[in-house]
Amino acid sequence: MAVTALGFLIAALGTSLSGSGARLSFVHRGVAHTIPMLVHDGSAYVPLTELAQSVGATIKDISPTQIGVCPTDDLCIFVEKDDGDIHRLPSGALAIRLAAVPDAFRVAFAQRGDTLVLNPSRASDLRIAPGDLLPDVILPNLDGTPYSFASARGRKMVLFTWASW
Amino acid sequence: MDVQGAEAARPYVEAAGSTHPSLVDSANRLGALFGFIVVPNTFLIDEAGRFVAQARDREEVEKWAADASTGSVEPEKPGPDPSEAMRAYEALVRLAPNDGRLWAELAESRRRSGESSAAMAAYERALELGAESASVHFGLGALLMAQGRKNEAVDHLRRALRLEPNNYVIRKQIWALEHPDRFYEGGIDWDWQREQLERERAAQ
Repeated sequence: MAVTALGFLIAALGTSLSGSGARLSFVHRGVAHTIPMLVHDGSAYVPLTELAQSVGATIKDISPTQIGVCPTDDLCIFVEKDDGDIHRLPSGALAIRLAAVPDAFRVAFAQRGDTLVLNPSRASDLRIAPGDLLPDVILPNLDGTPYSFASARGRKMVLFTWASW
Repeated sequence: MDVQGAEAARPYVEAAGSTHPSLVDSANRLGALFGFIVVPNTFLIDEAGRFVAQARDREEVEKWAADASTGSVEPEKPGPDPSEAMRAYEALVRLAPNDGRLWAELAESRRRSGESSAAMAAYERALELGAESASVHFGLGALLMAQGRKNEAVDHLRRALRLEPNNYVIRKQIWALEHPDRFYEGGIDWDWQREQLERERAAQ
């Protein structure tokens, strides 16, 4: 990340912490939280520590290039510091891109009425590996009727993917 | 797996006489989720909805299916309502209107909610804001194809392929759209595919 951009982010954080910046309000497990939100170069970021405290997650500094976001004791998601989703602030604190929050913290954004809800979800919606829970994929059958993968829970499923080409 | 939708799949499903659900993934949702770049694939999902493994052959599938040792679990409650996700991203892009990644998520959630034209507008906004990815181009291409705008669809699939040149789900989908005679008239022309791949590699 360029030095000039870092400078911008420092300013954004300062503004936010002084109370005049944007804030993100949400409900997690029935409890309301409000944390600072930084808008830097058009993209929205939230401070990792505040978010982790709000949703009961643990942040582990794994290596100079990676952090671990652990939504529960038995699940940690590695996030690269240098891929643009994480910014280190001069204070040493880290902020995460809002669009990267669902996969790292294993939450799903939902809007209910006027309330933004962060729903805990162990499933990754981005990319799964053996051992991972599937998100609830909903796809139409040949007649257009939606089929929910969650409706197959309780039974084994063999998923065969093919194409006409 | 086909941006051409149900009608491209129906003849094969009917010929096979299959009785299991046949689902149409026109926007490469499963390819992105499982990370496959070729078809066919066979994935084993256990009773809890957990991805166990990719099966290599029929014998492996049958052995796994016959093994009852994992036991069954109670069906989970239905997943989140896609329209709730869509409304959440609508709210988030109001908070950060120049965040292309949020626009891309809004586009995806609108597409999953069946809001096709609003989804197209959001994909285009995401691209204007520089949030380019193969899945954004593929998602937009799938929506354009569903509207019969084949040339524009192919253009976005090509841009998806440029970002993921090893993805044969994308590459062969483009071939099937541009050269249907090599796929749907007298079977798949494998020799043509080899030659076409060499031509495309030479042109790069």
